[in-house]
Amino acid sequence: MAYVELIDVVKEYKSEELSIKAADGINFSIEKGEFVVVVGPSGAGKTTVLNILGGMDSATSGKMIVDGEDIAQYNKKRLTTYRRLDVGFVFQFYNLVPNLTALENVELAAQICKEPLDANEVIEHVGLKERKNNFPAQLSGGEQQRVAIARALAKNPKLLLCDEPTGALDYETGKTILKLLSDTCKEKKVTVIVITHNQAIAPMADRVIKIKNGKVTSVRVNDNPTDVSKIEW
Amino acid sequence: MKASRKDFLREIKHTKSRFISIFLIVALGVALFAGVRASMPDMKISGDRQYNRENLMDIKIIESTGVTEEIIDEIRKIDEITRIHGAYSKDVLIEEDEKEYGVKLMSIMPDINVPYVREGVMPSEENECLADYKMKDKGYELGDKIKLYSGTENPLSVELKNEEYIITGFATTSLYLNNGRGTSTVGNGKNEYFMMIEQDNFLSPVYSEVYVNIQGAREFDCYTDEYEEYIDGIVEKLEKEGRFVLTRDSIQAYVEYELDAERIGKVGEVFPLIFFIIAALICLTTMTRMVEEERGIIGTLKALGYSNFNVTKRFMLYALLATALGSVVGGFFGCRFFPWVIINAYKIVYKDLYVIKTPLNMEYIITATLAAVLVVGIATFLACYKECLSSPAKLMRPKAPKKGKRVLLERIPFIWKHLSFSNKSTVRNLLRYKKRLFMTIFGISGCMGLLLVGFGLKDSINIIDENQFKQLTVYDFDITMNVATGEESIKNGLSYLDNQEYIDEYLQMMENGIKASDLDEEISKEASIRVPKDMKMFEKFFNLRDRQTKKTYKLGDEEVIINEKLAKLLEVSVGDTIVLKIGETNKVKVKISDICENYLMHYVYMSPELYKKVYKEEPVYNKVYGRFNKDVQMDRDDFVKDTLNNNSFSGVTFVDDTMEGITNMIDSLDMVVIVLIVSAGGLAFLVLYNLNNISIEERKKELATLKVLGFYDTEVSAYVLRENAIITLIGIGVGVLVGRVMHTFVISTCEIDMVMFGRYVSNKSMVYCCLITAFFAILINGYMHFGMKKIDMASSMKSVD
Ligand SMILES: Nc1ncnc2c1ncn2[C@@H]1O[C@H](COP(=O)(O)OP(=O)(O)O)[C@@H](O)[C@H]1O
Ligand SMILES: [Mg+2]
Repeated sequence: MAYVELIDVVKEYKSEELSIKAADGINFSIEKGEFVVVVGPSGAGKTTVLNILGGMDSATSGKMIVDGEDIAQYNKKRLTTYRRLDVGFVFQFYNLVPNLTALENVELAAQICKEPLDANEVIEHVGLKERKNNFPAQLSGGEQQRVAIARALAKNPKLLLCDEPTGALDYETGKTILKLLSDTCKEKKVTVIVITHNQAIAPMADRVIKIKNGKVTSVRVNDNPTDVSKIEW
Repeated sequence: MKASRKDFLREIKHTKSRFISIFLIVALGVALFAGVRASMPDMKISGDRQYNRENLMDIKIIESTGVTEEIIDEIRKIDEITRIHGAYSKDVLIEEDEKEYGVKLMSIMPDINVPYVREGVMPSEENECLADYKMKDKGYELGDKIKLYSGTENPLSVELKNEEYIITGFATTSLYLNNGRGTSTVGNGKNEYFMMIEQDNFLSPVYSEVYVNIQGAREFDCYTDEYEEYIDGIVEKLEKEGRFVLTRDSIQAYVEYELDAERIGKVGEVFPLIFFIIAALICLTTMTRMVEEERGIIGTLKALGYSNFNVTKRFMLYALLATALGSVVGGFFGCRFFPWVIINAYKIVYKDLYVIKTPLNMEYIITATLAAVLVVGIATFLACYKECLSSPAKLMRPKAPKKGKRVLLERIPFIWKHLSFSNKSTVRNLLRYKKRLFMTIFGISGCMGLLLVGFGLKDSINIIDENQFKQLTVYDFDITMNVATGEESIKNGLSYLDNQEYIDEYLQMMENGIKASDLDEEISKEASIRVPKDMKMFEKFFNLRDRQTKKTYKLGDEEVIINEKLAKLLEVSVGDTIVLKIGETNKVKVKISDICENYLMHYVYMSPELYKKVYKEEPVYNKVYGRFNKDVQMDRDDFVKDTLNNNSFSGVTFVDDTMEGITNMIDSLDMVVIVLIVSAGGLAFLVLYNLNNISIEERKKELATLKVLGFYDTEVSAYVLRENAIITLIGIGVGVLVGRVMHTFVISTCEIDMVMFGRYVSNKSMVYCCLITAFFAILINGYMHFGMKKIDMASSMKSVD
């Protein structure tokens, strides 16, 4: 059985006037340690799927197997525990706690996990050893995103979920962030899922999932991923 | 409908909790401001209307030889007199449960001092009477026969046609608004009830007094200078040799009621203002936050070509609508409710007040509304103005999040290192939002302060009882000697006291009214000079001590000791010289050796040696202060009767009676204190609710991030609530200080010259105030917990700001 498997996942947003199926029967599976890119136009339902997979939201129906457990069955409390122990998130807007230094932001995540990585080592891993005592406001966008990645990694998660991590960054910085993610995936053997609406970075992934109108339109496995530094867009 | 108006209404709908909280906080502020302020005028108006209804006398005239019909005819000639009647009154006794009670017997007049018949009807026969409504509570019933006694050797039949009367009705009269029925010339010296009978029952050829109503007097509110001046003008015309012309100021309850109204007036000057300021500050914070939150919308509107005016208008309308609605609702509610509660509280003392008027006091409502609208309007305008100055592009970009900063504490590694991780972030967070921190501390401490004042007010009056009569002046009764009867009679009187087993010991003292003033004679106050006969005995009865250090002072032969309040009023201190005046010509100068604790009236204590030195005469000891022997059984009424029948004595009072008066005053304050506590509590609630709401809104994203990281709901709450707990504790701490200052201030404004309230708040009250404040804080934080639970992670991660 695959490490991650989504079966007929539906997410319906109901309001008084209309209901939107943001995920309309999503099916895909991911193997352990893969670097996965999810692509699709804006509004396709990528974020919706990722949020459900990360336990931030629950599906209206369907099954979602992560490491042998159906998290679709989880209640709120168990979902929180799942997020706490098994999932690392990276967002477009970093979402660092402004009041804590880079290192403290990492420690914030690490302190609640069972087997966290050493915060100082992780900060060093993302290349911010010199800046670890700076507050977010004193860091550039790219550096802030590195802190966010370090924070996610420090939890030693099963899944590292990244929603448009380069969306707010310039081209060069974006590239180094992607490189950091793919290197991390290989070195630390974490399963990484990256959302992007930028089709050009698809070649660097082990697996590319295309989503459109709440449905998976194609899943392609890439046996020879291209190194990110060789991709131009 | 125009799109902008739709947007406006939708805005209110979406942010209804903010709209409602501005509305409520303004309503509460205005209600208290207008309501408590209106209490004094409303009390006076209520009294006035009741007096009008009963045609309460404007003037009462007594002639030393009694009033004849001729005199009445002569007075009637004055143009302004609308009603005039001769009347009789007499102190008699009745027997109840084998004990005697004093009764003020009065003749019924057709249209002056008309009693308010609560039950039954007015008497129509000569042998019928109207009884005090108080008697009904004592078990008397309509149809009961009451037998009267003269209380002297002379039989009643000399003065009255009938000695037995049938009760046809129970009534009250504004002559006796409170429980007191005045003094009596017979029995135990005190009247317990009043009774009214037909005038023809009195056999005396001359009236006891004449009552007069003055034309146009009822158009004035009686507790105003206009009324007094008007009446005084008439009185001057009536003055004559051998005649006593009395105004309503001769009615004890009438005067006491005015003093009480004025005391509430003083409270009304301070308290509501504090509420109002807190309310205004909260609205200001809320609106500033609203504008900040919507800077994106401001940018969009500006980019669409809306002018600054149009953009500002939107926020102004929002704020002013909430404020205006709150003011109007609060003003109307406040003017009806608070005076009603306060007057009803005073009805505990003024039992026979039955007219309660709480008109809408437009002056206060409009003042408060204008002030509220102005304050909130300006605050909103300034907040908008600041944002409007930015370019639309800048506005549409997210505002940089508030920077994290190192705090001073971090520079002290000794402490910082030992703080846990979450404590560190708590400390930083506290200092990050300084404005909110101070607002919250201000709000909580303000409420804590108000509670303290409420509780403290009671403590401070309570202490008069406790300290004055149990620690400072420890006696059970005092007797006034009839010094005019001569030395021999006084000696007899004293030996009579010596022979009574139930009297433990007594102190002879000279006590006379004087005027005390500062050396320049600029300030002058009524006081009593007290010269004890025996210093040893004096120290057993009077403990002259310092209020704070409790150090006891000894009365020396060179200088005097005066009480604290007198020293304060005269603006003198130890070592200063004061002037004691008897009349205008007899003046002596004395130096102050010490200033002693004292709560009621003003006293100058002087040793007999000093008295002889400055007045060049022997003191005449005209008072006796005594203590009962607790082991010997005695009948108080017998004691009074015996002393009154004894020519050597002219009056006796008991400390218990004085203390009862004070207890009544405290009871009537209970309701006022409850009003304060509930209002302060309500305010605390709204303040905390508002600030916490803002706090959560501001940090929504941070809290959502914690959730995403896998913090459980309780952990997320703890993250914020730890801060709130610390702020609450600081607020309570500051509140204790603020409260003490406010308390001292309010106490000294409420006080009348003759009284000093304690400057004291009991530990019990302190604990209550802390608990109530903490309770509100916990309640709010519990509510916040659910608010935080609802924060949606997914949408928070999407948004930029
Ligand atoms: N909370 C919500 N309520 C209603 N509709 C939503 C909500 N969140 C997302 N949607 C809708 O679901 C669809 C998918 O959104 P999303 O997953 O954010 O797309 P993507 O990330 O691919 O751009 C969109 O049409 C969006 O409008
Ligand atoms: Mg998205």
